[in-house]
Amino acid sequence: MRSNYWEARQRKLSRRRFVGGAAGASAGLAAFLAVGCGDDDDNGGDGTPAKGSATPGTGSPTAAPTAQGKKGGVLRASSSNATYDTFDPSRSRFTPVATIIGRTMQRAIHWDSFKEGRLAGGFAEKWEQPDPQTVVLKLRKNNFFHNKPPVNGRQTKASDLQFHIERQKAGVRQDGTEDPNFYRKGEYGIVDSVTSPDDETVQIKLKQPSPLFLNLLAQSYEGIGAPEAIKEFEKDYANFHEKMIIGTGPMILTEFSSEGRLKFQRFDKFTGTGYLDGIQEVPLFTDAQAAQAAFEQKQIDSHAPSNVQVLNEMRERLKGKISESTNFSVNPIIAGSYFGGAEPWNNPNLIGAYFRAIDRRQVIQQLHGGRGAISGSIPPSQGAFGLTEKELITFPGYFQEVDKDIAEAKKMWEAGGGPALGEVTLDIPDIFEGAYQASAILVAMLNKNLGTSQFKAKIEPYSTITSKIVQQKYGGGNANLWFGWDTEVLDPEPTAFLMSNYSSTTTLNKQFSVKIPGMDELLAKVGVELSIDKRKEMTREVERMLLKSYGGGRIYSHLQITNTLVWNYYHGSESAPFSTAHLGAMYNWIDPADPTYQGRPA
Amino acid sequence: MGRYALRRTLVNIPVIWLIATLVFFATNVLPGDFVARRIAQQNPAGGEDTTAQVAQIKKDLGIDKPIAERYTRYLWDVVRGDLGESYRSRQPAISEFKRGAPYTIQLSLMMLVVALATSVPIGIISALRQDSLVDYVLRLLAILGVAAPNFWIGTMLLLLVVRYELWTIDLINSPLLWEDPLRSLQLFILPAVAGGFASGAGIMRLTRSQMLEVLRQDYIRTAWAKGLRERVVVVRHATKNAMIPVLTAIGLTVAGLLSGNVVFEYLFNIPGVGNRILTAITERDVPVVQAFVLIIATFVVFVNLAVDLLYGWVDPRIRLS
Repeated sequence: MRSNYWEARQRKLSRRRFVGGAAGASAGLAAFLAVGCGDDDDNGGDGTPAKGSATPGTGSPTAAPTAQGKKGGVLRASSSNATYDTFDPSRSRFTPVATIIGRTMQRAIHWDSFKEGRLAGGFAEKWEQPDPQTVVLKLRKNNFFHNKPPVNGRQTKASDLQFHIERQKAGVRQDGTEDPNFYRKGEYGIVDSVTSPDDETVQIKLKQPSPLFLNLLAQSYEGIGAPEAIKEFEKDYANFHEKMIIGTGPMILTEFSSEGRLKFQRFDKFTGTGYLDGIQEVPLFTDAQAAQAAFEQKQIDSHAPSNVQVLNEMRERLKGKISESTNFSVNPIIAGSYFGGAEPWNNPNLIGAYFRAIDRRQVIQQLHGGRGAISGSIPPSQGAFGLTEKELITFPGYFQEVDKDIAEAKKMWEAGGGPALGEVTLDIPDIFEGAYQASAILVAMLNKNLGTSQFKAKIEPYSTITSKIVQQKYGGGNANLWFGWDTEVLDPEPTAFLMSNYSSTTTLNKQFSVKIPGMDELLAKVGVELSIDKRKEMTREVERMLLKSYGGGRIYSHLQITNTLVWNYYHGSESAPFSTAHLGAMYNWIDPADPTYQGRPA
Repeated sequence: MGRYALRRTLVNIPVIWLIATLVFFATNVLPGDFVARRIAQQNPAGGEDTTAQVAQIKKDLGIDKPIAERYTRYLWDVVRGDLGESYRSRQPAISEFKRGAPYTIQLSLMMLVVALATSVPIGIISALRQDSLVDYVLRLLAILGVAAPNFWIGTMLLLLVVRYELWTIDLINSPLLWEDPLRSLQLFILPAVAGGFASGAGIMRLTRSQMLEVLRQDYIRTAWAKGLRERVVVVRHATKNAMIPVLTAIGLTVAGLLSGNVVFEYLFNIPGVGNRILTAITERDVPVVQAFVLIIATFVVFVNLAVDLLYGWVDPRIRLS
């Protein structure tokens, strides 16, 4: 039995997690970009992720690819999603933008391996934490911006990074307007001051010790641009144009169209590794047959079949010519969130009955044809910090003997006075329903498993669901719940998320208000713990406590899995459910000597 | 004729206004607006209070005003030729249409060529050889063309070419004829054949029935009796008259084709008008949907007018009446 997600990947996912193991599903909201997917060469990992990423005094390891790449070639891929919100990295939360950022910009530091939880230098070559409240970043030498006006290829300065942090901390546009779309303003609130003692050094003082500040700097949207470019383009960032993307990353964005046709060219002055001459991204294929045809004719180098029969047929027919990678989607699917501070969901029997009546394996089978993995309160994509599957299946709601869970669920529903609730509404987000037609399946399952006919589905836009969550209307006197995609998992470490969601001291927790004895104390400790190994132990304990409290406000169901096929000539970097575009731009390479390269159109 | 054309054009103005109004209100009452989708995509059910973000995005897009004010503004902009700006790309909606139009026009013309090249001659031959083996075979083909879903024919053609490696179909660049004729033909020929065959089947059946009717007319019998050659009787006397109703069918087919071959553009990844409008609807990109529908509707209205005028020109009896 594996101990974490990365080991699972090495073993092609265990049987239980990969329920059914063979059926189709669409990628859904999971913004999984084929270019960013690696091959299946995950043998480099030792299954012990996240060693000392935030330990004070840690230097930056040297970034190194796992295989010796060859220079040259233009990678071609289709995006699974081509919607962009803004070209301002600090105000974006769209994965396609994170992909552009990853290829064209450096973050202060970045994840060099999600598998090993390894941070590496980016815009800053080295960092140290002389004390728990101070972070010192040393800039990379001879690092240049792309040669586009108004930056014109100048060398980087400490003030660039200082501006990047101060701007997000303030959350204010150049014209003085406060903009709520500086999404990470809250996280930057921990910064007390930023100074640049010299052109190569940035010193950040934190208001309180934080082991997670480096993780924040390494997040997908933390690409650093030049202040003069930001000042010039800020008011036009929503009018997407390639001239606005000026970074120091391995690729230069040379062409952009909003339907998803992008061209990148290698930046020769990039200080790190880089093999490809360029990357060409083509718009999302509207039809699966066309995508398959384009892959088979080698017009695109990777393809994720949504239909499992097609996947199996291609596996068999192209055996020896292709390799495959499996990946979790970025958005976990949850069986809802609820307000536990009032009736009916403050009744453990009722919410427990619902928690146990969700047959997660059946849901995976019916919604995704079996391609999914059951999830505890920490999704398997953050498996190093969560419970092993062996332990997870000992908790109610996750038993392998589903009948046991269902029998208990029925008893709890009766004992809690469930039948007296009358109609119970299950809100399904409209775009989720559009992707999976889930409402009929879920309602039938709940009614059957609880021996009732009370559950009814209602299709709602996400904005309505979000509004209800915030207003504590899932519960709070209403017999209702919802089912759909949860927010994107951005970080291989769940600590910050756990703290913001489950500590009763936070505003976010008010919408759940589930009292869990000892939770605040534990989260307070994990929030200042600098040893990552100790944090892992603590987050597992948090998950145990949450599972015993029926999710503590959020009822996780599962993560969808995507299978991506690549031709053997294409050697991808590590794949992960997080944005890996920066790794792809550096480490992906094409081998023209591979026999499968024959017939690839120029 | 001139007065007739002017009167019809004037009548079309309220029709277009009605369409614009319907489109405006229909797109504004669709569930799940653009901002809601954007927020959902950014942070599905993250539990944050997104009220401020929603307000900011609406303000940035200029949709924070009451619907009546927006409607008045919309009509005024339409009159001035400004069809709005895409929420998604922030480009003028008309430029989105212009980008897609060449692909749709090329595809439609190729389909029309295939449709006419097959349907009219086959319809004539079938009528001339009524109840013969040739007639049965050709009618069977026509029924097949009507009955078989055109997207199925398209998919089969695509798979056939790919599986048997007959040629490379450029599905990622969609080259146009004037950009790269060979690669363009390699791509467009498949939807043109699939779509043209389906569109032509109806025309073929109509041509056949019209020809049969005309061939039984007295003046045709007279022509035969005069000892005219078959080619002269068929082409000059029969076909010309049989083509009058066929012309209407062709006109409607042209309007249908140019208004967006959604299925084929979708299937062959062609970035034409149909594909773009589909994306716009999915994304709730209201200005693009409004602009595209308005342009297409206007086009269809004027194609109908053109067909009517043409009808009068071809058949003097109609013109005189």
